[in-house]
Order: sequence, then C-alpha cells, then structure tokens
Amino acid sequence: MSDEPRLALAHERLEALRRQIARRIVGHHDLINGILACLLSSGHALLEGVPGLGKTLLVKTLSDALHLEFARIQFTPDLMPADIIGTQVVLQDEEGRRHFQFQQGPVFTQLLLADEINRATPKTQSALLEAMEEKRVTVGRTGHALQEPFMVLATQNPIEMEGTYPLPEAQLDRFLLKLKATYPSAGELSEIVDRTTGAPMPAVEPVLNASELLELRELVRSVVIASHVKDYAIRMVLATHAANGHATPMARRYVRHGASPRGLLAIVLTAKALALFAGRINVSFDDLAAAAPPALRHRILLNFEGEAEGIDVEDLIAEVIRETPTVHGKARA
Amino acid sequence: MSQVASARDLWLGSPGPARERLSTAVAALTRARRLQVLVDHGFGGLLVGLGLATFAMLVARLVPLPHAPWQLGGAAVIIAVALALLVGWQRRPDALEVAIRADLTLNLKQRLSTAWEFMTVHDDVKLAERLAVQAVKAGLPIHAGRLFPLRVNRWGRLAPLAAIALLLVSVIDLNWIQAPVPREVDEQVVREGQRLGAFGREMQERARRDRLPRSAGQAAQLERLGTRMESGALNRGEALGQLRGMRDSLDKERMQALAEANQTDIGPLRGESSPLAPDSDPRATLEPMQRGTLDNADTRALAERLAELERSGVPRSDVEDALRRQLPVDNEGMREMLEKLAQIDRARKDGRELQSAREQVRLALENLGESAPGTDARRDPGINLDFDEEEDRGAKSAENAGADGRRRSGTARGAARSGLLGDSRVAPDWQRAPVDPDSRDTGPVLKPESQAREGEVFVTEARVLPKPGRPSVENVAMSSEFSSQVEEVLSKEQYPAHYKELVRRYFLKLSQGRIPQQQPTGKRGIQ
Repeated sequence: MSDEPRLALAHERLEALRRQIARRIVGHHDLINGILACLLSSGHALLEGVPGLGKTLLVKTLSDALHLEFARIQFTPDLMPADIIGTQVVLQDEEGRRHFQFQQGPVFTQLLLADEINRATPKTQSALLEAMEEKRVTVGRTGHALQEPFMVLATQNPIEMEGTYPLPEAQLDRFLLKLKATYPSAGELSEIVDRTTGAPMPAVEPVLNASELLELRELVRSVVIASHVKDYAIRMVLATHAANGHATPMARRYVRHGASPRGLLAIVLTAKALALFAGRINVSFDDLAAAAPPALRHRILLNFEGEAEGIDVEDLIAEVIRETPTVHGKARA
Repeated sequence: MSQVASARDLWLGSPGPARERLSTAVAALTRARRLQVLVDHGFGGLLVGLGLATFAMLVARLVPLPHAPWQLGGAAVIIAVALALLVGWQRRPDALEVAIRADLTLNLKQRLSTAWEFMTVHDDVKLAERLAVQAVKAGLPIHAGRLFPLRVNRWGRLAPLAAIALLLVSVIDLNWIQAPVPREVDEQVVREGQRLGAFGREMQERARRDRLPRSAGQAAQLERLGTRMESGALNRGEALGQLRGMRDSLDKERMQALAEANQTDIGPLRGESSPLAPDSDPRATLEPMQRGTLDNADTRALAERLAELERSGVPRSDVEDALRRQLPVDNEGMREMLEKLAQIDRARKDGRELQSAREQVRLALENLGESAPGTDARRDPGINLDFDEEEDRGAKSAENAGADGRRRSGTARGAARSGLLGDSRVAPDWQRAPVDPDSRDTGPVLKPESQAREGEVFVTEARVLPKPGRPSVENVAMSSEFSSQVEEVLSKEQYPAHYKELVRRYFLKLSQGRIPQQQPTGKRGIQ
C-alpha cells in the first residue's frame, strides 16, 4: 500500500461487491464478511448451517459478482476423488494411436463450491487437501497448478448425521474460517419472501475480476500489525492450550488440542482483512477478537469431559476473548 | 499541552517533520498519564497510610510504646504516601504504553500506538504519519489533560472514611476493647492501677508545667497503663509484664536524661579560679552576690554549685537572678552558659520525675508479687540511675549543715522530704553525708510531725528496719475512698480538738504514700 487513493479504491470495490451480493442475499452480514475476508486472505471457508439458509445461493451470488470461473461439486457418498481432481482418459488420434490425456476435474476452477462436503467419504474429502493447501493437483507423476485466485467454499449440514462423514481434523485445519449461517430475523424473512416469491431474482453484475482481486489480496497483506497487537493474538491462541500458562479455566479443563499456528495465521490474516474493510491500515484488538471465533472454532478439539458435558466451543472461545489481556493485564470487558 | 492543543491541525496538513509532531503529541500524553499515575498511587498510599495510622494509633493506645500515637500515625501516613509515590514513579508508563492506553480509552483501534511503534522501532515515518492522521480523525483529543485528567480515584474517595476512622480511634474510649470478655478482677491490680494512674496524671501536669517532654511521654504511658490496670483488663501476670516494660522504658529514658544532665562543660569560662570554689563555705557565696562584686570566675563557680547552693537553702532562682544581674549585655559566653544550665536543669528535672515514676512502678511490681529485688537492681553500674539516693544524701548533708533541722527553710525541708533535690555530680564530695555501707538496707527515713500540746508542731526522725524474711515494702496503696474514710473515722471518734488536725494530716499523708507500711518504732498508733 503506497497511498490513500489505493485504499479508497479498494474500499469502493468492496462496497460494490457487497451491493451486488445484497441484491440477492438478505442479511447474513457476518457470513458475507467472513467469506470476503477469506476471499481477500487467500483462504477457504467452511459454511455450516441447516438447509435452506441460503448458503449455496450466497456462494453462487458471489461467483456471479466476480469475474471468476466457478464450479460446483455436490458431494455424495459415492463421489470419487477422480470426480473432483480429474482423471487420465485414453484418447485415439487420427492415425489410430492411443495415448493418455489428463481430463481436468471440477477443481480446476477459481471459485469452487463443495456442497455438503461432509456427505462424501474421507477419501474423497482428502482429495481436496492438496488443492486447498498447495493450490495444485498431482495426478500420477504430474502436477497441475490451479488458477489464481483459487478458493474453496464448502458447505456442510450440522444435522442429518446419518450417512455423513465428519471432516478429518487435517482438512478442517485447511479452512481459514468456519462460518456459521444463522437464522434470519423477522424483518429479513419478510424481505426474503418479497424477493423470492414475486418478481424474478435480480441479476448480479460482476464487479471484480481476478487481477483486481489479487490486488486486493496484496493490499490486505500490507495492513500492518503492531507488536503488542500481535502479542494479543498469540496470547489468545495460547489460551486455548490446556497446558499453557495463558490457558483459561475452561480450556484447562475441556480442551484436548488447542489451536495450531495455522489458527494464529488465520486470526491475523482475517483481522487484516477486517481492518481493510473498515478502511484502516492497521490491525486492532477488536479485529482480532472478531476474527477469533470463525478462525478457532474448528481448530479446538474438546476432550472426553468436554464432549460428555456438552461444552460448546463457542463458549470456550468467548471466554478466551474475554479473559485474554490486551495490554498490562487488562482483560477485555 | 499547548503542542497537543494544535495536534489536530498538525496532523491534518500543516507542514513540518512528522516525527517531531508525533513525538510532541505522545510526549504530552505521556506527561499527563505519568502525573495521573503518580496521583493515583498517592491516593492509594494515603489510604494505606491512614489505615496503618489507625492501626498504629490503636496499638499505641492499648500498649505502652516509646512513641506518642500521633507520631506513629503521622510516620505511617508519610511513609506510606512516600512509598506509594516511589512505586508510582517506578511504574511510570513509557510512551508506547501511554499510546496503547490512549487507543483503548478513545477507541482509536490501536492507530496511535501502531503509529508510535512504526516510527520509533521500524522507522517508518510515512506510515506512522498516516496512522496518526487517522487517529486524529478518529477522535484523538486536543488536550492531553482531557484524556488523562487528574482525578480522585476510588482510593482517594475512601481516604476520608479512613481519616474518620483514624479520628475515631484517636478519641474514643478504648476501655471496652481492652476488656472485651468479663474476667475475674484482681483487686490488687486495680488498686495499683488507680495509684499509677493518679501518679501519671500528676506527673503529666508537672511535666507540662515544667516543659519536660520526656517526662510527659512517660507519664502519659504510665497513666494509660494505670487506666488499663484499673479497668480490670489486665490480670496480674499481664500487669507485671506491662509494668516491667514500663520500668525498662523509664530506665532508658532516665539514662538519657542523666547523660544529658551529666554534661560538665557548662560554658567558656571554665578554668578560672574563684574564691567561690567548691571547698568554700556555701554560705559565703552569698556575700559576693549581695555585694554585687562577682567576676567571671565567681559566676562560673556559682553556676557549677547551683544545686549545692539550692540544697543549702539558697533558691536556685535567686542565684540565677544574681548571675543575670552580673552579666554584661554582650557577654555571650555567660549567656550560653546559662542556657546550658537551664537545659541541664530540665534534664535533671526529667531525671527526677522519671526516677519518681520508676519508684512507683517498682512499688507496684513489688505489691503485685514480683519478689526478686535483684530484678530491680541497677543494670549499668557505670551510670548512676538513682537520683534520689544521692540527693537524699545531699539533703541529709544539707540538714546536718543547718543549725538544728527545725529552722529549715520551707524549700529545703520540702525538698529533703520528697527526695527531689540535690545533685551528686555538682555537689562536692565533702558535703555529702558519710555513706553508710548498710544504708541501702536500713529502709527509708520517716519524719512524722508530732504535737505534744497545743502550739508548735515538731518533727521527729526515724529509720525503718525491715523485718527479717519479709520484703521491704515502702508504701501501701490506698483506696480512693481513703480520705472520705478518714473523715468518717474522725467524725465518729472522740479526739481532743487540737489533735484532730494532726491526725487528719497524718492519715492523708499515708494516702499519698509518704509513710511506709511498717510503723516506726515508738510511734503512737491511732486507735
């Protein structure tokens, strides 16, 4: 970031993107913020919510508002890894000679919607691991790079546990944020009814192309974070470690595995994006506190006691945010 | 502050080095915050100090201590406030901490602290300036004092309550605290307490009148101890312990008084010869005084023999007046000597008062059953702790030097009786009474007044010999109703009219503890 006009332009582009999304999506401000933060932080998002809350519609609207290639995979128990990555197919040329050629799967896109990802088997789910982390796919001995920007937006249903396969921890950790879709309010419901049962759904115009998106990503990474602010993020992550001195009482009692260093990166990157959304060039304590729940909720594993007592990770994270001192031993109110 | 007053203009476009502008603004904030921290700690120290002072006041009123309660309380407050300010200074925040606090207070989203860090640590002045501009836009106040105002914090708000508690503790009657649970009252302890309390009050009055601070403090402690004993709050063991402590305290103070009174260098005129040398007749010293022909050597000798002359019946004030009359106006040396004499005189009075108090304490200890007389022995043979003994000798000597002991002047007679006159250090040896090696064992001297018929009262003298195997108890504590009982007995019994006053005086003297318990040989008892 070199000057204020770039910041203003970024702010203007993001506002335009929000406006386009808002043409179809009612409410879900936190969810949209989270998805945009993931988008600008080069991360992937896991959207969790009961059916009918508009998760898939939100992702499709986002793809419409962006000049990006979009692909959707409906995960089912019989989905195979090759259905995601692609496979070698035998082709015959004009001279009758046959040769193998790699047929790209739907993962070769820029915005990938992995719908109901927990319905596929762990083997198929793991097929996304390399793509999400390395942004490349290896088939046989050949590696294939994915296009930039690349983002996976996965949805999963917290109910209907029958016939679902919870995502393995390793794959969960690769999602920058786990976002929760909540029920709309009465006013939002009223507006949803008006929009969907009357005139046709309004069209969404693409307002951001790939290069502009990459520029925004660069801008996010240039947001600065002071050492004492960074220390606060570190203390928050350490507070989720049961054996650490910073651990909160709940963490000491109920946590088996706390947040990983990748969780810290997720918090800081998301906080930087949130700071940029607010038109700032520095990260604040509030940004970190806002980034912590979606960044940590899928990275904390409860022990048997926590599971048995039905401890909600959200409560644990709330305690971490509340009890972790910002500076000079002063905890956030 | 004035630099910060224009902080908004500074950041929004006025030219100048960004580093200096940011430094000025943060420095002003830092000063304001440090002052605030000091004041906050000061209030904390004040509250703690008042609490400690209250406690010290309570303890000082309940337990005899060598310092006055207000001294302890004042010292506690001063020390606590000083320590709190010291801690506040050691905890003074640095500029980054102040910037962070300003961010939190004003919800500046860490703009100011980030700007300060990137300027001072990363030397990124451009970024710092942009952040600072954002901070000003977000509401950085114009006045640092508005952000970190001097305020009365919660400690300060509690300080008046602590002060009220201190005031209450210093004025309320603590007897109910001293005797929270009913206990069996030891009548002997109560009687001793009454006696000591009365003595302490009288001693305080004398000390106030003669301006003797050392005696005043001890008298106050003695009175408090007496009050506690009288209230029944102390059992015999506790009373003995307290009395021993009181005795030690009196000894210590008395030694100091004696050391002060033992100063021999009383002025710059020492060394000159004078016809008023110590080996001359004290009466002869009056002649040059009456003639008004004193020279410097005479005045020095007079000053040195002041106490001795006093025992001989020459009032000290007369001698001092004579010395003053002899002084030339510009004789600073002599004036200094007189001041020193006055100081020594006060120390002697202190010593006498303390000696008297110590006797009372010793008597109380004996009456309460502290049987070992050795515990009251002199602890430092190098320093004479007993004014009375030597002064009694001096007084006896003075009496011997007088014609027949019946025409003594009132001053000398009173002094000899009370044992409060005399100065063994100033008086020459030849004037002391011959020391009887057994005098310590012969007991006190009684000088009851008698009257054979109407007319002159005469005085006889007797020495009381303690009975073998019995502790020598000089005085018997009398109850407070004694005087009224005397009057009652006098009204019932038939006495010749001219004897009644004599009998009344005799018994009233008993009540003042002047007559020992043992009846003198040959003394007629009152039926």
